[in-house]
Amino acid sequence: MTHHSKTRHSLLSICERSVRLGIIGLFFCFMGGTAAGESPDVVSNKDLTQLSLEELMSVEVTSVSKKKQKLSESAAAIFVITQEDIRRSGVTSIPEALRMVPGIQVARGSKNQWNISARGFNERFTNKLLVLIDGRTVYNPLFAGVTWETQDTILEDIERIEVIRGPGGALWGVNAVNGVINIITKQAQDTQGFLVSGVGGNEEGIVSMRQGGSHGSDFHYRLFTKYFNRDTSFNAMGAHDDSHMFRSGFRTDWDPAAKDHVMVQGEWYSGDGGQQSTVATTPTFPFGFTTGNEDLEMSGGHFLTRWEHTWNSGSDMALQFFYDRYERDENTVKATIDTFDVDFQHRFGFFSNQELLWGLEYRYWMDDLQNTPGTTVFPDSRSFNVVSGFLQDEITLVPDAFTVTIGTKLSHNDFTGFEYQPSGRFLWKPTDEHSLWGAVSRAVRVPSRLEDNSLLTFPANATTPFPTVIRGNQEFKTEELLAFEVGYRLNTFERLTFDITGFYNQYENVRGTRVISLAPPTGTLENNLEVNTIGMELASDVQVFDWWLIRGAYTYINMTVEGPINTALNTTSRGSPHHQGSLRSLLSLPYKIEFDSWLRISDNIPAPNIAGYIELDLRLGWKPWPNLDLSLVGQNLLDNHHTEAAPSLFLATQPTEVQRSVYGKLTWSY
Amino acid sequence: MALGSIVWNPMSSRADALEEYQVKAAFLYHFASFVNWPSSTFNRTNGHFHLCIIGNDPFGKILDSTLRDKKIHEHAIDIHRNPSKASLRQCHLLYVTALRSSQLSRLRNQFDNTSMLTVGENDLFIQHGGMITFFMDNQKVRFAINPDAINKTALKVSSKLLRLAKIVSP
Repeated sequence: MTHHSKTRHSLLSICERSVRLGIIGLFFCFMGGTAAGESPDVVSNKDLTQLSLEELMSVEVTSVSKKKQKLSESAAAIFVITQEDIRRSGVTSIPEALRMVPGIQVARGSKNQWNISARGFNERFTNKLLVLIDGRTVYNPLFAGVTWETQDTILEDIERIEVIRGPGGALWGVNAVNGVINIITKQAQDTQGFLVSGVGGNEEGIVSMRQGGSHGSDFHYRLFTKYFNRDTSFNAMGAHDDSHMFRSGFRTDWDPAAKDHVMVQGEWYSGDGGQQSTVATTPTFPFGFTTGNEDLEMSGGHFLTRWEHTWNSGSDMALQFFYDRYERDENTVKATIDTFDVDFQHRFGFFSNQELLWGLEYRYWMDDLQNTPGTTVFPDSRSFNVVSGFLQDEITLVPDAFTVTIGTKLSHNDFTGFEYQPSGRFLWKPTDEHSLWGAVSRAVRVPSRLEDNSLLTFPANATTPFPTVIRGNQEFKTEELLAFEVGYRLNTFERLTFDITGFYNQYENVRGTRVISLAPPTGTLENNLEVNTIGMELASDVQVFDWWLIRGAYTYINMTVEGPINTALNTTSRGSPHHQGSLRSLLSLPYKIEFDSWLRISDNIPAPNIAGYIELDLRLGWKPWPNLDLSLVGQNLLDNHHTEAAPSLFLATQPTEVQRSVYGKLTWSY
Repeated sequence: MALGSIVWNPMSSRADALEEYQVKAAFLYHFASFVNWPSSTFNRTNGHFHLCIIGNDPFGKILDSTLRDKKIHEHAIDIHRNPSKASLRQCHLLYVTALRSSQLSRLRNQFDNTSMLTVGENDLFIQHGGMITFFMDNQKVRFAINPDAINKTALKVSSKLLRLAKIVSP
């Protein structure tokens, strides 16, 4: 054992002890880790081809191949949407691209509403999914979910979207219960030059522009701006869901030294979206309600900076800060939320077969709400702190063949105090082609602001003839999940990949309601449901010929709910189809012509009943030169319009139907 | 708590990866400089030198930046990642990643090229008929050559390269 590894060994024992002491100890452990990891630069920014073969042979290097985790080497249910997938699918928004991922439920509620969930519980205010864009958590603490209508960028600048189904709890945060969606944009050096992209069709018009540039060889930047105008879609009662949004931003990537990378990005957006909503006008029973069209306003922005450093020993770290502003103004909710987040992570190897990853995060947010007669949240302005730490050890028991990963996350939030989320995983790779993995994890979903202390008023509807009131609950607990997963992946040379995952999820303390008064009908939110889901997800690629690729995905999920289900006061969605499928065909024809088709099938949604559907998208593309991309796309071609989403359980807004659309697109870059 | 990415951590694909693969990229440049190809092989590639990678590219941009503006025997370098069967035939240097090593023989059945230098990452590669492979020795990058495999081809390897290599036969 060399001197260096001895240092790390003792460092480890300090770390181990610190972990028992908690987060403060962990921080101490980091301080030691930095000092021990430092060693002089051997290879700086030189042009190594100038060295002779003999010199090259004497250069000491660090092996990193292990850290570049390949898809086939992850012990989790992962699916990656590449830039090529986005381009060839003809989608015009991030949510649409997620339709190709097995295990993800996507239902379009209107031109500005999306219901997106992983492994069930699909509704507009889905709360068990974590979404990140370039490391920035896009989390709305009001309902513990994501406002998808404001998450957008130039689609050509997305490098890839990584989707994990299942709990990422040990690594990814307090609402990564059913999945994590990680959207990664291209580095600035990959978006040099000018790009303009235009979409024009019967349902939407989009213009995107980007200018990339550099200063020296180490500093690259891009500036971008995008505007979209989406047309009103269909609803028998009137839709009024047209939406417009403008956004503009920048990203810079700077490599001050070979082992350092600094990324800075910022963005501002502003837009509006129409909806038909029913809101209470008088604050006491039997309330007065008005139904009408409104144009809700959305705006916000963010600033993020991240520094990444690698030591010669192969260990690395990242330090990140972001600020995010969210503003929304609609008849039921008027909210401003400011989020500040500092995040640090550090990874190092020790002994010959272990790699430790640990991190600390502090998040502060404050909100400012304007209450309305129908939606009241107490107090109307509040701030929160969340402190989290995590620790994960990846142990290679048989090199390239068997690894075990154990980890836990410990966090503290202002609603429920300390929460722990451990997980254990294994990956067995008997040959290059086959891999088998399994995992057991615990994950929690912390309460949202609305669940904690609020008063929500709902108009009479099909199941209850009276207006009802639902109250928040200050004793509301975390929803808990114990998840069992197993998966198998086959990756044969060039022609076929096959990926199957099975899971069994046991949820406790899931949000339900308890009736506290029948006249007027009043309920309070309570953790009184037990939910079990069982499911299977399948993804397969077949490269039939070099010029024909078929990508398929299938999802099965079954959900059982135990506990007092008050149909009138139901706030837990079972809105996910039992079966859903996606089949894409990508044909690369002569003369640089592409012909792509995408068939999507969704079973009916059990409660509330939404009919199943089959839809087809077609894309004809032509790339006469590398810098010009022309396409003609038809989406949802099989029906004039079809319903995908159930009405929201929390806000009385009317979903609309998805219409057939046709558009032409031009992308030009130089 | 997710600064990096799940599949390709940007932390590791950037600064981290500079080390081993920056050195290997420079090695590839030298290998090509110490090997002579029949001039006819450049006719079908418009006079360019074609460097191809099969498998999950471990170099990333390092290879492009290392070889930027470089020439191999006065030929400009084109890099192709996972080329189609048709363009595979035109590769001068074929780099096969570790995972694809065992598939070299299957790969070779797909093309008929007697003047392609094959470079791999592990011993398995030589066993499957590869010509040059990298191996690690005490945190240093070394390479092994299988002269039998090269002698079957139209390639001419400089004696200097052979002298510095570990000579192996499968």
